Amino acid sequence: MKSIKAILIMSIWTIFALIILYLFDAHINYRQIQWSIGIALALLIVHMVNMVIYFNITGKEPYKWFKNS
Amino acid sequence: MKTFYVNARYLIVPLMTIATIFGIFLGNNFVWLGVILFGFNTIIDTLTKDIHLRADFDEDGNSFGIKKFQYAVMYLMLPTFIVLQIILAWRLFHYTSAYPIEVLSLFGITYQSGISGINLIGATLSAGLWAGLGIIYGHELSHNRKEGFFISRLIMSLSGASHFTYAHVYNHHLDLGHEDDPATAPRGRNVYHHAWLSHVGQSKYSFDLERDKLKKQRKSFFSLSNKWIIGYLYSLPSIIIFVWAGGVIGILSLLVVWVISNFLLEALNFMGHYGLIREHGKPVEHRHSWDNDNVFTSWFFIEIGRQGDHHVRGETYFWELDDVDAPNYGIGYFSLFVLTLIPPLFRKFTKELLEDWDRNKATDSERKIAHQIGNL
Repeated sequence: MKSIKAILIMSIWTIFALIILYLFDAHINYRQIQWSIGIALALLIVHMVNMVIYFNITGKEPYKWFKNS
Repeated sequence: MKTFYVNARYLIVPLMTIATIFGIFLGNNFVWLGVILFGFNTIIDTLTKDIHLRADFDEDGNSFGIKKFQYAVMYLMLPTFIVLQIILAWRLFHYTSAYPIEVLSLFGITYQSGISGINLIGATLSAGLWAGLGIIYGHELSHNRKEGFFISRLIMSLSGASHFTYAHVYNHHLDLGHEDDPATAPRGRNVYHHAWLSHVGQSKYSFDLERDKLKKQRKSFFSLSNKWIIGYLYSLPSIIIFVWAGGVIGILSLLVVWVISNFLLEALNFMGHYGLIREHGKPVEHRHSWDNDNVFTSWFFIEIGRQGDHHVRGETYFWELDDVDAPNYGIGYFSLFVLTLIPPLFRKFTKELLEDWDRNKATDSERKIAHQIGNL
């Protein structure tokens, strides 16, 4: 259940970030090297934040072999 | 002659990776070479499933492996995998720039400039598969205490998985066969679920490790001393190249490469320990890993299939790892990988093997845990 909640929030955060990039015309300007670096950094941060969202929401639950352990 | 044979047999992946790069360079249908080689290897692996060889030592018990040569090969795999990514990015650049499809020549070698959408898919799949198979070098070097560890971090970062190097050595090897190790798959879990859990679980281990360490050192989490952050930053050049070369399509292509390569890595973890159990605090023994040591798997995967020996002697060079009578699937990694892709088939295949493990290799405590899992 926690995993589903985490993946939902990760999806919302990712879509939000992609919309921001789109509104800044990132999909048009990507061939300018300063844009390439900026877009890449933004995507990497999105990925890292996604990981942290998953860690924080799910905790150790997904890795447990037994429900009560 | 024996020295040459022992050392040259581990060159299958480097040579096939170079062939894959060359195929993507040539263009047209050659971009599929990496995929075809993967299929070819599956057939060879299946045909040689009954051939098992021991490690080679001379009369004095010395290995024929040449350390300097094997390490040079492993270090050279880093630039090789970088070239693999660059050649794919070059093809993405052709596609997104709408280069006309025509035959050109470079240093006397004719290649196809421009690429069709379907062949771009082929190039991406080829690159993903061989980036994934190349992770075996990231694994091997993670056990090196010197510069090899750093090279391992860089190799893994090409797949966005630099955290693996720390998690593998300090989490997987120490917590093997227990739920504290996200890379050990309990009975009943399928490879798809495991790939996700093992990937994020290992990243979480590295994240927690750095957070606790920096807290003790009274440093900010957002620090250049944070190896979890630095590990992801190592992946930044790959992302920049793919964004620049292909924009949205480039990002999707890199995503496919990362998903395939990480899936192959986690499939290896899955196959290496599926269903085996170790009581917390008890020593890691040969029986806590599955061996896959038919001749092709051994040579192709630089003996990574000798998991039983590897987990007891983690810093032993791969060419010295031997058969230690660990549990054995009896088939190679390629053949087994196909089975893992179909979870009911894999469970059916492992059922008797696990029952045998429970009966003949497990301790009473491990049997008890197995029984609890079985009742879930």
